[in-house]
Amino acid sequence: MSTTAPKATPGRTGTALLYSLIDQLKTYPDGISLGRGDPDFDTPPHIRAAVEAALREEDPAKPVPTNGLSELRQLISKRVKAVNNIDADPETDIVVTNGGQEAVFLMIQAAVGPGDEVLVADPNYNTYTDAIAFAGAVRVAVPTFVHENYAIDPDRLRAAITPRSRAILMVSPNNPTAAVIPPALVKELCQIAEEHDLIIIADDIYDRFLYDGAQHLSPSSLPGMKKRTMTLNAFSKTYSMCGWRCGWITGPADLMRQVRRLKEGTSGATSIVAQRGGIAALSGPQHTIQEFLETYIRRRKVVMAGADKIGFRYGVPQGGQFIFVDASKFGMSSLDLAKYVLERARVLAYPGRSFGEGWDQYLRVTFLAPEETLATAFSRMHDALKDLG
Amino acid sequence: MSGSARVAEAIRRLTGRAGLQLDAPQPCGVENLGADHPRYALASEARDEAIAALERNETHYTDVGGIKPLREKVASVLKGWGLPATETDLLCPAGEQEARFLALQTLSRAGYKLALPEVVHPGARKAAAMREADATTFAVDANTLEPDLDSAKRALAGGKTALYLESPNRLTGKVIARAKAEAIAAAVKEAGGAVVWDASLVPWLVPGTECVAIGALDGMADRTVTIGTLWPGTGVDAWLIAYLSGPADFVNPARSIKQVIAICTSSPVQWGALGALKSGEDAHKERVAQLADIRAKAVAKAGGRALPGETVNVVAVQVPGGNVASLPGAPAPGDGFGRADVARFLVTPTGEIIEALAVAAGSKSGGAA
Repeated sequence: MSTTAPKATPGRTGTALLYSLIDQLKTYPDGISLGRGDPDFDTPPHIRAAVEAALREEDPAKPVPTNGLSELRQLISKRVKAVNNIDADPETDIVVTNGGQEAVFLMIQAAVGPGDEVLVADPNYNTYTDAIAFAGAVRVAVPTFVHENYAIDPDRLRAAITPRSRAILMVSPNNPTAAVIPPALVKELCQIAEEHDLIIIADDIYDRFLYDGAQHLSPSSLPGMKKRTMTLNAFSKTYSMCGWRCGWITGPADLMRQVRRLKEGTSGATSIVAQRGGIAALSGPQHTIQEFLETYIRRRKVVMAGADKIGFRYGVPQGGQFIFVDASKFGMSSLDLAKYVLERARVLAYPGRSFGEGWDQYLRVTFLAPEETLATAFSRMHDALKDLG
Repeated sequence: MSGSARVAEAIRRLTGRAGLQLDAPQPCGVENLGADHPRYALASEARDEAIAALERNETHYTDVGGIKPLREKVASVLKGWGLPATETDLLCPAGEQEARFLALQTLSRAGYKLALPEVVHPGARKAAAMREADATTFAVDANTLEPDLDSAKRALAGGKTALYLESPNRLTGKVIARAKAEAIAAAVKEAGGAVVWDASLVPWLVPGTECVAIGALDGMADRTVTIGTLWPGTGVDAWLIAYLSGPADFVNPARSIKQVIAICTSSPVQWGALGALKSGEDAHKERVAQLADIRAKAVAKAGGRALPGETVNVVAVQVPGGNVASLPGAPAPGDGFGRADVARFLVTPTGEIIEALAVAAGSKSGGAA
């Protein structure tokens, strides 16, 4: 494993590349997708039923506010208080978005402008890189390492701060590394943010999926931190609603007013159909979240066992739905390796290069398939790779 | 105030972007005559297709551009307008605003200077302002709101430029006449420019009105992005769905931006939109005929203050003194479009506009007639 600090990749997009791999997978009748972060579960039936009922009754003349339906914002306010201990006034502190993706985009555009620097734990979800580039800002990589379970080192973070630093990104559980920032470290990072007057961009989208006793702490819940923190979440992962495109941002009223202006410029309101789905999700039974979690716990064991058998090094997933493996022993670039695995094993895993230039010998593999399918996928990958290793 | 200098700095930076103005809250109820499109009951085809999609568990990410059957259906409609649309070079954004944003930001990132008409839908200015894009304006005819050709040529002469054009006009419903469209196209081609063409009000054209699509003119297909909606009248306004069509060189980068901002448009919405396009053309013709009748009566009530327009969904009226806020029915104020002395009234099937214009004509302040 290389311990060289990975390089930053401002403005690079791997989207077309990933879609070409998805398209190639579709040509294999027995192909297994462990690439995209789209839970294989369908949206729970009670959510779909509630939306179907709403479609039969909805008044199409009802205007949809840009910041979201009041009923949904009130439910979000209760949710973030109960789960994250975040105080969010539904009238001023919440904007409903087209999924977590738009939330990422809007938070970045609200926080930083041309030349500003955003401190990002490297590797990172590629959309952050693209959104930062869109703002004309600069992604400053704070290196993490597989042998440290991709933990953020506060000293490395401090060393990366410059007079142009404006914001710090805190994604926990992380995509792609599945690292969870422990509460003590969240507090330390928040202290650094206060010392250097940085805006915190927090991504809590995987906050309901934690393993081995890992604890999630939302930075905004800490005393005095709300004023500088925007937090995103979405229905996509928690309720398996990726295709609905509904999420939200919470934050201080003055910043959220700017987020709303940016939302009006980007897309206007969020679809009432998606918002009805969100209302049904938050107001209905919550037992499916625990069922999903228990399933992911079982799948994670299968995935780690498969990775061990192949000889991948990895950070133990502490949350989320991924494992980020070091495949350097095979001596191929991550794209070549992903293509090799796709062609030989009919398994799609995403190349690490998509998450940062320095991760070109890594793969991101999801848990988002049944245990039997995951076992088959890793068995096929093992067979395909054994001649290389 | 937040107490954070960084937060204050971010707020100052965004507040300084003139195009990004917050919309006023939209009033509820039938008295609201400020909306872009008259609202109708949800088409049963839209509801049934959306529900069927949910029952099939179509709840996962779709292709970035949209589900293939929807793209194919939209492309077939656009081909009927003479546009060389294909399902591969077409996106289904999450509403008209996202379509504007994708089109303008794509061209801005491709190095085009954006040139917006002085009178334009406020959403266009907002979309252009999202990335501190290099945007200029060009003049329009004071009465017809058609682009002033000389002013557009001057904008094009300033370097690689993309013109943003609406036909029908979003404030008045006035169509850019063929001769003017051909002259603009010639200027764009000569200057090596491009066009974003907002055709959102085409479904509301007065029957028999010619509305040329600039992308269908000779040599314009490779330099035009056409955006709009095909769903007015089907009750899916709040579902948020639109189209963006153009050459691959523009649509592929737009698809990449769409991935960054939303991944895809809501899956059940896309299926519902596909169903809505199966709703009968005859029903829409009836809607248009009914609105045309109401619009004619409303124009008569406006007593000569109505601006020329060729769509059945709006009547724009001059408001002496610009006191739009005092007008009944909460029409769309023209200042957001760039014409503070104009208000745009929505024509609805229940005809509130007639009463609103009658009241306005009789009022002493801000009267429309």
